Formats: sequence, structure tokens, C-alpha cells
Amino acid sequence: MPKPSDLLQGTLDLLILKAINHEPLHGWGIAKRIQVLSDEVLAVQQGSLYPALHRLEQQGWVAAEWKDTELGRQAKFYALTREGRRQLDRELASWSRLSTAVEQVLERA
Amino acid sequence: MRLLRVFRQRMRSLFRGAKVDSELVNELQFHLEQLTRENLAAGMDARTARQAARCELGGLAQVEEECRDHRRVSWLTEMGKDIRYAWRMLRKSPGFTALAVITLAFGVGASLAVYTLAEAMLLRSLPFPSPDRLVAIYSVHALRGTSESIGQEDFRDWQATNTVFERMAFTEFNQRTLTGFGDPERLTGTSVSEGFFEMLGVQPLMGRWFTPREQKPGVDHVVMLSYGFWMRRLGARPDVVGNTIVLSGVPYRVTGIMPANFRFLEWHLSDYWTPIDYVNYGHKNHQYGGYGRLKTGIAVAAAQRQMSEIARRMEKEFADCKGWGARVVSLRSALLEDEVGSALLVFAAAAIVVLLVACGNVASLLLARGIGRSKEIAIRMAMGAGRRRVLRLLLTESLLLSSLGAVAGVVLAWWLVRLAVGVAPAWTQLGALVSMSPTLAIFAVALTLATGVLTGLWPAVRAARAVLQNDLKESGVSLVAGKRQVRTLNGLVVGEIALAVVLLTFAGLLTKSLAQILRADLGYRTDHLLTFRMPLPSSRYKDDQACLQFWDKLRPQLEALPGMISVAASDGVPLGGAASYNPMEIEGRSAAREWAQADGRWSIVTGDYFRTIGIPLRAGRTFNGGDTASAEPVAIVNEAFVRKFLPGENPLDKHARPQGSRWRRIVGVIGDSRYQGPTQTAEPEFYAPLTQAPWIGFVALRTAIPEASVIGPVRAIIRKLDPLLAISQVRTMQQSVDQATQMPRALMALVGGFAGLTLGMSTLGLAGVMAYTVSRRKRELGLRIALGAGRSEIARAVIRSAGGLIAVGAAIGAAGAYFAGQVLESLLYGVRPHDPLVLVAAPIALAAVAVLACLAPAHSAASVDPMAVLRQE
Repeated sequence: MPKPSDLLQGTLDLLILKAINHEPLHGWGIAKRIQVLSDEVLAVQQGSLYPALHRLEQQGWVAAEWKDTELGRQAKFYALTREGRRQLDRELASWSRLSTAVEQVLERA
Repeated sequence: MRLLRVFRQRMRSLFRGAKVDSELVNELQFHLEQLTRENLAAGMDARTARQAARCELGGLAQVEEECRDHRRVSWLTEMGKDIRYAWRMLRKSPGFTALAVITLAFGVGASLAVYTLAEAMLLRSLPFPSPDRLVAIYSVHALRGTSESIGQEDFRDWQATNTVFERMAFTEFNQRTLTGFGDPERLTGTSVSEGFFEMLGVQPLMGRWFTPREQKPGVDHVVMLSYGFWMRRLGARPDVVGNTIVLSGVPYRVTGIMPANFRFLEWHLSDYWTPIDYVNYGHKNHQYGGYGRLKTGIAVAAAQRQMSEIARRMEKEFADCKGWGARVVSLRSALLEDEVGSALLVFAAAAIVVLLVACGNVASLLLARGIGRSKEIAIRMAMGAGRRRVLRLLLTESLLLSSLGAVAGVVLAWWLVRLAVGVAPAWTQLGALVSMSPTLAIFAVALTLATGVLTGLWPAVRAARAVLQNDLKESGVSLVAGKRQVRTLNGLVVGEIALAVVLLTFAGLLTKSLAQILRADLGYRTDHLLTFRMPLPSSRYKDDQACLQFWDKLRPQLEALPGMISVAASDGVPLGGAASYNPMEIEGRSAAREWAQADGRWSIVTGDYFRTIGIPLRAGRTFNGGDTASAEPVAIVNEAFVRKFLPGENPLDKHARPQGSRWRRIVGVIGDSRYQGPTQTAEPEFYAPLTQAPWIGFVALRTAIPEASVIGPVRAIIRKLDPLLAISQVRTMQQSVDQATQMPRALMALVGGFAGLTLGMSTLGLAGVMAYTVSRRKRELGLRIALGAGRSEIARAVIRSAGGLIAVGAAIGAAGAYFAGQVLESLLYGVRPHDPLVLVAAPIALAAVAVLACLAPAHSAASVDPMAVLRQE
């Protein structure tokens, strides 16, 4: 199995926001979801996930709530706020601009 | 909406910190559990699974700390913690703390005082709308290169031809005697030309300005009063406006009162303002102050260009304008060009040096301490403190130090400002200008923060950069001190020494200058001599006869007082502030010489004047009873007069005169004296007898008993003779001299004090660094001694390395002092800024003290006990 790639600088916020777009998730769930959805290519640095979550919470993009997990243990679930959704749109737009640009360079060069 | 959410988050973080923290721990714990579960599922045993999980998540403490950082309020809560912690650390070493606080207090205090004074002089001295457009206009004498007063006719030509000024005005010093309100009083005021108040743009507190009609000759007996005078003498009665007061026997109608904060700094204080006398002197009589308000958008330089051009044109047109130029200076710069401005500049330079040395000193103290604390810091970082966090903790300590220093500094600043206000000339009204202001508060806080960062940043960065393992492994004492650390400390010490040498040189120059001033031969005696001002008002002493009669009545009564030796009257006395200058002419010589070169002071005195003042007669005779109005006109000149106008000749029986007066035969020559004070050179003097040119301005009394004891009886005699006559400026000659030398004495004391302070700080800093290096090298030294190195050799090595630092610092300082000496130029008397003796003596004096200060660390290096040191291995 190839070593999981490091996340591109600044994309962690985008991935987190996207991961909780449909349903609230706890930190562990977010990490797992990113890993699974990327076919194990992207691995979130566990140490940087929580500071990022707390930052997003402080900025008001996500709201947190303590809820029971399927295992019956309390965990902190993060959900997108309305402003978070808008922020996600903005980040998506800027991401697609960036990736198109990179692709163009790769194709034309 | 989002802001509300953010605000709620912050509040929760701030006030529910414990709950938020426990939630964080819980959250991370959950993550760990999941990881462990996954590892177990992958087939690890329980212990390995937990360990692998921990590894994957990274340091729990670090993650927690990083999350806390994102709460954005952590700085607040942490600052509280840091301050408490820093306070505990400072309390633990009271000696260090006291030293650092006192050092910083001097630096901050001196700088605050300078800022307060500068703000007063620069911002508050011109309480007028757009003060930047106000300028002073001088006549410049090409030959002397000095800025001088202007003439009325020049002013009128300037006013007619210039296009740069919105308004122009000129003023004249004016003195009158107030009668009718209790004791008569001699007042000082200013005569102002039309447009003066309009130029400044101020409104009277009450009443109105003079109308144009009131400024025409004949109907111009109107006066504006200062707020202070109105309060002091007229009881602040509003009905004064519109009524008359009597000045020098002439009734003046009061048209208005100026506001309390109105001040126009003109090198004298004003109790009143009257319309100026318009006299056509042609292009002569440079005796007026010229001022202007620039049109909006016109720069001072542009105005200067046009005025120079006009002056050049006038030189061609009028003979009397030859050699005269014009100079335009913003009013603010004009104020600072004075001695006061130079003194302020020197004070500022000294304060900056003190502040820098204080910062350097405290920085080196902190640095040395920080190196000793590297182990503590390493432990903190191992426990999860980020570098930023450690940096902040250490900076908090230095900021706390600087804040404590600032508090003490405010007290010092207050005292220094009081001192400065005490010695500043009265016309600056410095006391009224100094005040607490928001900008001052901002400056104080900014200065404190800057000082804290300046002293703490470097030591903190160094400490935070420490390599973990090395510091943990190290037992706290290395074999040799790190090269980099020592180099930094050395650099700081060299800088301190250099600055101390600069200030010591300044102090040396000012001391030498003051010594010259105090040693200067004044040419008259300063003991047992009392002088006072007593001008006879021309309204009641209408002719020469009345003046002489009064003197003939007064003199015997004064002479009859017990303890009186001699009594004299004159138009002026040394340091009395009154003097008139005229071009001098010698009979039979061409008078076509340059006006300024032929300048001499001329004076009117009674026969006993020279004996009373204490000026010796060198040749001929003094004035006597035979020199009556009808007798031959005679004069006495001083040696400087002879040197200038009759060099190598016998002056006796030659005829001379001030331009425009009658010829007088020179009957005596007297010694030179410094009429204007110890820093002025003796000028040519020409005296005429009072009996031939009656004019009384001052009275001088030589006594055999303490001068002060005759003041009462003298006043009583004068009051009996003429109850309306005002006397003022009653002082002994010693008081006059003290007053004239007050500024240099205060400046010398101040700079000397600061120099001593920096000398102490820099040598202490040096000794501290040496002691620190010695303590760090104890093991190395112990080894060396054990291997047979002589103790005196070791002591010498310490002194030698200190000597290197001293030499480098002193050399840099001497060079700095050489270049910075110019600042002092205008304040020095009889000594140049590059005085070789002082330039050499200052570094040597510092080196001597510094070497002495290093004896203690050298001794402790030499007395290292090899057994004790090696046992620590």
C-alpha cells in the first residue's frame, strides 16, 4: 500500500467542511470519512484535525453538540452552520479555480 | 448572526474555561479509544494498541494546547497566568528586580520628561489657529551673519511688495508704570502694529481689538490687558473694559482682555498690549520683532526666497539697507533656536542615551538569567508549551519589569519637569505649557512596551530557541559558556560603555564650560552690591532739571543710611537687561565704516557709578561735580573701546561721540567688564555723565553690610520722596549673576547626573557579565588551577578580557562623542565641542572605573577551589 499523501496546505478546512456537509460527525468520523472517500489516499494528520475543528468552531463555520454515538458513548458532533455552508461554497469555488489552473499548467506545459 | 456565534464562543471560552477544557480532554479521549479499538481489531495486543494510538495522535498535551490557542481568548487567560507567574519569579530575586526596575525607571523617566517638555514647547506654545503658517521675520546682517530685529521702514517695504504673507505685523518691547492701583508698578508689555491680533487669529476674552482709527497717532491711548494682569491687579472686574487705567502718567482706555491661554512668546512676558508708535526712522533702527502669517499653501522656503529677493532689491535702492538680508523662520523653529531649544536638545540626547543604556543593561541581566534558566524552559517545552508560549512568558516578565520601571519613572519625570520649569526663562511660560495629555499617556505606554520588548525580546528568543535534549541532559553547568551567548552579552556591554563615554564627554564639556563661566572675570564686583530699576516717568519729570533735582534729593538720603558706602544712578546696570547701542565716531576720523563694526554701548552714569559697581579706573579721572550741564562735554570709555577705535593711541583728550550726539572729550579710561553676563565678551563702552545727559533708569548701592538689610529703608525713602514712583528688579548683583548662570548650572548638573548614572550602569553591566562568565567557566578554571595555572595569571586573564571590551566600547564612544559634540556647540562657553582634554579624559575615566569594577569577578575567578569544582563531576 502506498504511503498516504500529505494534505495540501489549506485544504484541510475544505475537506472537513465537505465531510460534514450532509450529516454531523465527530472528529474520528470526519477523519475516517476523508480517508474512505479518498480511497485511503488522503490521511488527515490526527494531531492537526482537532485544532482545525476548534478553529472552525471559533470562526462560527461549524457548531458542535454532544450526542450519543452508536456505541452508546458521548462524543462531540460537528455540524455546518448556515455561514459554514456559505464558507464551503466559497472554498469550493476557490479550490476549483486552483485545480483548474494546476491542470491547465500540467496539460499545456 | 455569525458574529453573535463567535462572540458566544469567546465568552464561553473565557468564562467556562474549565468546562471547555474537560470537553476537549473527553473529545480527544474518544478519538484515542477509537484508534485503540481499530488497532486491536488489526490484531495488536492491548498495550501496543494503546501506544500506537498515542503515537498516531501525537503529543496529547501539544494538541490540547494548540486547540486552546484557537479559542482566541487564550491570550487573555494566559496573560493573567503569565503575569502572576512573572510576578512570582521577580519576587523570588528581589535584588535583580530592584536593580532592573531602578535602571528602567531612569531611562523611562528621563525620556518621559523630555517628551513632556518637547510637547509643551512645540505643540502648546502657539495656541493659534494653523500655527504652522506663523513665521518670524528677521533682518540678517550679512557681515555678522546674525538674525536681528527689523526696522519699521524695511517692514513697510516688505509688506508692500511681498505676495506670500496673508498678514504681517511688528512688535516692540514696551515698559510703563502703572499708577492708581495701590503701589505703583513697573509693567512689561508689547506695542503691536495694526493687524497683529488678526494675524494670530485670536479673539479677546472680553471687549474688542483696537479699531484702525485707534491705531493712528494721537488717538492711540488704548490698551488690551493680559488675563493674568487683569486677575492680579484689577481683581478680574469686568467693568474694567471701557474704563481707563493710567500707564506712565497717561490715561489709556481698556478695549479688551485677552484669554487666559493667550501667549505670544517674545522673549519677555506681557501684561498689556498697546498700539505701536509709527516713526519713520528711514531704513535704520532695527528694534522691532517681525512676524507674518503665510498664505495657505505657501511654504516657509518659498517665502524665504521671495523675501531674499526683495531684500536684494532694497539693498540696491537704499543705502541703509546695504548688507542687510531678510530671514523667514517658522515661529516654532524660532522658539527652538533659542538657548532653551538647545538645552532641550541636549536633554533629549542625554535621555535617549540613558534609556538605551538602561535597556541594554536590563537586557544583559535578563540574558544572563535566561541562560541560567534554560533547563526550566526546556522542561516547559517538554510539557507541551510551544515556542510562542515560552516567548510570551519571558516577554511578560520583561514587560512587567518595564511597567514597574515606568511607574517609578513617572515620579522621576515629574521631578525632572519641575526642575526644567524652574530653570527655564520666565518668558517661555513653561510651567503653564506643561500638562498631562492623551498623547503623553500614549507615549508613556508605548515607551514602556517598547522598553519591555527591547529588553526582553532577544533574551526570550534565545531562550525559546534552546535545543531540548541538550538542555535537559546538561546538569545546568557547562564546561565553557556558549560562544554565541557570551558574544551577545559582550556586544551589549560594549554598546553600553560606548554610550556612557558619549554622555561622560558631554558632561565633561559642560562642566568645563561652566567652570569657565564661573571663573570668567566679570570686571565688576558681585558682592555687597544692590541694584534696582527706577525709571523716572517723563510725564512728571518733564525736563533734565526735574530729574537732576530728584537725584540730588535722593542721593544724600541714601548715602546717609547706615552701612552705605556709595550710591550711583545710571541708565543701566550690568545684567539689568537695559542697554543701548550706537555706532561710535572719533573726531577727525572717517565715519564711513560699517555700522555693525562701529557698534558700541553707550551709557549715562553718575560720578560714583564706577566705584559703586566696582569697575577700576585705568587712566584719567571719573566724572565729578565740575562736569555740569554748562561745562565742557566729557566722556569715559573702557579699554575695549580704546582697542577698537583708538588702537595704540592715547585716548585721553580725544573727542568721540555716539552717532547723532555731540562730541565729548574723553577724560578717563576704565577696565573692561561683561555687562551682559559671564558668557559675553567685553564690548566697547562709552559713558557720559548724568549731569550732562540726565536720564535715570537704575540705582546701584554698595554697602558694607548685607545688601538685603538696606532694601526696606531704601524703599521707605523713595516712597517719601515720590509715592508714585515704581521700583522693580530689586536684587543683589550675586543674584543677577546666579540667574544668568542658572541654565548652564542646571544643564551641567542634569547631564552630569545622567552621565554618572550611565557610567554606573555600564560598569555594573560589565562586572555582571564578567561575573557571569567566570561562574560559567568555574570548572574550566578549576581544571586549569589543578593543572598548575597561577591564580594571578587567571585574574589577569579576566581583567584582560574585560579590558578588551572596555577598549572597544571606549573607542566607539569617543568617536561617537566627537561627532555628537556639535549638539552642544551653542551651549558651550570657552570650550569647543572637540576639546581634546575632555575627549581623552572621558574614556580614560570610564576605563579606570570599569577596570575597578572587574576586580571582584577577577578575584572570584582566581579563588576558584579546584577540589570543590572537580568534586561536582
